[in-house]
Parts: sequence; structure tokens; C-alpha cells
Amino acid sequence: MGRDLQSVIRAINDLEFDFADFDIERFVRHVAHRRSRTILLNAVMLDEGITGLCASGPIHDYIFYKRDTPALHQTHIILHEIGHIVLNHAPTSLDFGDLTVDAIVRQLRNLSRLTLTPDIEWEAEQFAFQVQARCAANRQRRMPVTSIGAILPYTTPLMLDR
Amino acid sequence: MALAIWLIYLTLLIRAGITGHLKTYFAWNAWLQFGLCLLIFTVRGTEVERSIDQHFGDWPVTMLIKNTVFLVWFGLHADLLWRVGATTYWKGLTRAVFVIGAVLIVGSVSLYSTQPVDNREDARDLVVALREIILLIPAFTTLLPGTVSLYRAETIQQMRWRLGLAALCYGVLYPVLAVSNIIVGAVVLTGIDIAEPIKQALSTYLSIGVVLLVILFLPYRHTRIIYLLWLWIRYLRLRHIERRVYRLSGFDAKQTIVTPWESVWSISKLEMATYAVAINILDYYPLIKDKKVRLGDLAVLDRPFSLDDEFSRLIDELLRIRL
Repeated sequence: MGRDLQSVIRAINDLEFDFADFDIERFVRHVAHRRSRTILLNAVMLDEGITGLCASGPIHDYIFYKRDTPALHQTHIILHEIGHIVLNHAPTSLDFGDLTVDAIVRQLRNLSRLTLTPDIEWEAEQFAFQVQARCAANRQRRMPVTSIGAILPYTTPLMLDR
Repeated sequence: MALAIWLIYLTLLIRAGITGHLKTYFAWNAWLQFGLCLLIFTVRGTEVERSIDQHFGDWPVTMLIKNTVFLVWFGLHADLLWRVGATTYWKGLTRAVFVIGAVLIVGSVSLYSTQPVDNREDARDLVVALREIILLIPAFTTLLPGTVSLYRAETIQQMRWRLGLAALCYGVLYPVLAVSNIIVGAVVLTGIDIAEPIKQALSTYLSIGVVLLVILFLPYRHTRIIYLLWLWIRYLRLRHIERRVYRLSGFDAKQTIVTPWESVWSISKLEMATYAVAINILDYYPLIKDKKVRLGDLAVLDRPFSLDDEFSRLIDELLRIRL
């Protein structure tokens, strides 16, 4: 399997998400709703060199992401892992039973070393970037004049955005 | 120069009127401030004052208008800052200064008008010095702290620059001008004749303030080139850090997702390229943590994020990495 940007773009389009008002929690809820499965997000401590892991269980999809990194990075990692899930890269039908989070993470880490190829990683990374690119494009179209709502009545008449 | 700036102002004002942007108090407040500044700039200097006053029987109408306009301009800006909650300190004192200042300004100009036309220069310097003493109070109690507070809160870079320029005007340009005028007034009282060189220097200095003022009111698209240049500088500095992080971590450079050279004029593409580099640094930075690398405090970025206002703050933090 080679690198397939078109399938990534198709997967994002198929989600029919409104990127005009993006936030990661809403996006996760939307993807979960589309897949009729819950997505469980877990911020965990991960070994250096690993930023996120994912898996599809019988009922839930699991995403584990690095706890000790800025929110921007966490958002990117979650998007990357969602990319794996919607592009069907994630290991499926895993039953974690009563395993602790640490044990699940250990199991997934070993599994990911065997199953994740550079092409698969590239596609998931593309998914994250394409999602953020759509958010950026929307943001550019809106082009807010100021981030301070209180001064909008003053700045709007000046038409600085025109 | 004044004519050109008036043309820019009137064009922008007419456009605002046509598009229905002059219907509220807020709109008039903003546009009036711009217009009043221009009025002050246009009637600057004794020669202009004399030529206008001639039409009013040599009564110092220009001085009265100019001083009143100064007071109204500062009052409008103070009102703006109070209404948006940018500052609340010294509100009562500042309001009192505006009222007392209005009385003093009218009174001093009236006294000034009693002076013989050919011998008004010294009296004029004293009236101007009095005006500056009055106006320095709201400048330091309200205008400067309020503008700085907005500057700190603002995260949209283009507006942040404008607020920075406004803070520069109130914090540096105007105080220098005011103190110089006060010195001129003091010099008149002492009788030492050094007022003229100071006045000539101030005339040039005032032009700098007006150029800054025009920049403040220019639509973003006219300052887009500066914004792009700023984005490029940040992007290239970040790329340099990214390469160093790769080298230190022992990994090969990843293929960049967005090729910025294709997007010289696209702000969103350049932001995406910067974003991609930022993510690469965050991915690989932990691998070199123990190699005596200094990094800014990323803990400040603890709010949910999606390429919005915090993006710029994150890049600021990453640019603090010293390798």
C-alpha cells in the first residue's frame, strides 16, 4: 500500500464536519457519532519517541496521547490518531478486558511497532494537517480584526478587515 | 503631506458611511479621534495659526480650537478605554482633570487673546505648556495604561501591532512632545532664548506621530506585506531550530508537509508551514531534552487550541529554544 492523499481527503470529506467552528472535543464527538462508537481519550505518560496510540475495541475506540506536551501538540496527536481510526489503520477487535491503562499502552506500543509502516504514519499525519489546514483556511476567511470582543464595536466601523 | 492624509481619511470615512458603518456612538468615537488628530496636525505652527486668526479679527480662535480638540481627543479615547474595561484606575481623577482642564484652557486662551498680536509668542508658549501639563495627566493615568492593557490582551497580530504603535504614541511620542513644550514654556519664564530650536525640532517630530497614526487606521490588507514578512522571519527561525533538533536527536529531517516557497503570498499556507515545523519540533524535542537545551515555558499553553490565537504564543515559546 502506497501513500494515498486522495483517500485521506475523501475520509475527511466523508466526515461532513463544519470546520468553521472547530474545537477538538466537538470534532471527536462528531467522529464518534458518525462511527456510532464512542471514542475514549486518555492523556497518559508515554515513552520518549511515542506521542500517541490508538485501537478499536469491540465497543469503543481508544486514543492515548502524551500528557506532558502543550495543548496544540495534544490536539495534533489526537487528530493523527483519529486519522488512523477513520482510515482503518488502527488495530481492531482488541479486548482489553480488565487491563489497566498502563498495561493497555504497553500492549499497544508493542503492537504498533509491528503494524505501523511509514506510509500509514504519513497518511495519519496528512489527516491531521489537512484538518488543521481547513481550520486555518476558515479562520483566514473570517479574518477577525481583534481577539478582544469588547473593542469590536470600535474596530468594526474602521473596516480594518476590508 | 497634510492634504494627502486628509484625502486618505475622507476616502476611508466616506467608504464607512456608504457601507453603513457610521451609525453608532462607537463608530463616531473611533473616526472622530482620527479626524481630530489630523486637525491638530493640519493647524500646527504659529504661521498657520496667524493666517487663520486673521479672519477672526486676530482673536486666537485656532489656539482655542486646537486645545479643545486635544482635550476632546484624549477624552474620547479615555471614554473608549473605560467602556471596554481596559482600565479603571484614576477614573474619577481623570474625569475631573478633563473638566478643570477645559476651564483652564478656555481661560488661558482668553487671557492670551488680550495680548497684542505682535507680542503673543511668549504668551502662546505658556498656554501650550499649560495644556501639556493638563493633558499629561490623562495620558499617564488612563491612555497609556489602558492601551498597554489592550496590547497585552490582544492576540491578533495585526491589531497587536496597532495597539503597540498607539502605546508608543502615548508612552513616548506624546510625552516627549509635551515635556518639550513645557520646557519651552519654562524657558519663556526664565527669559533664556532657546525656545526656537526646540520648536523646530518638534515640528519634524510631530510628523512621525502622524505617519504612525495613518498606519493605525490603514486596513489590514495594506499592511499585509509587513505581516507576511514577519511570518516569514518567524518561519525561517523556526526551521533553523527544527533542523538543529533533528540533528541533535539523530533523526533524518522529515519531509515538510507544506512547501512554503509555493505560498509566498498566502498567510494561511505560511501559517500551516509554521505549524508543521512547530509539530516536528514538539515531536522530536523530548529526545534531546537532556542535551542542555533551553526551552521557553510551554506550560502557559494549557488551553484547548486549534490554530487560533494561542498559535502565535506557542511559536513565541518555541522561538525561545536555544540550541
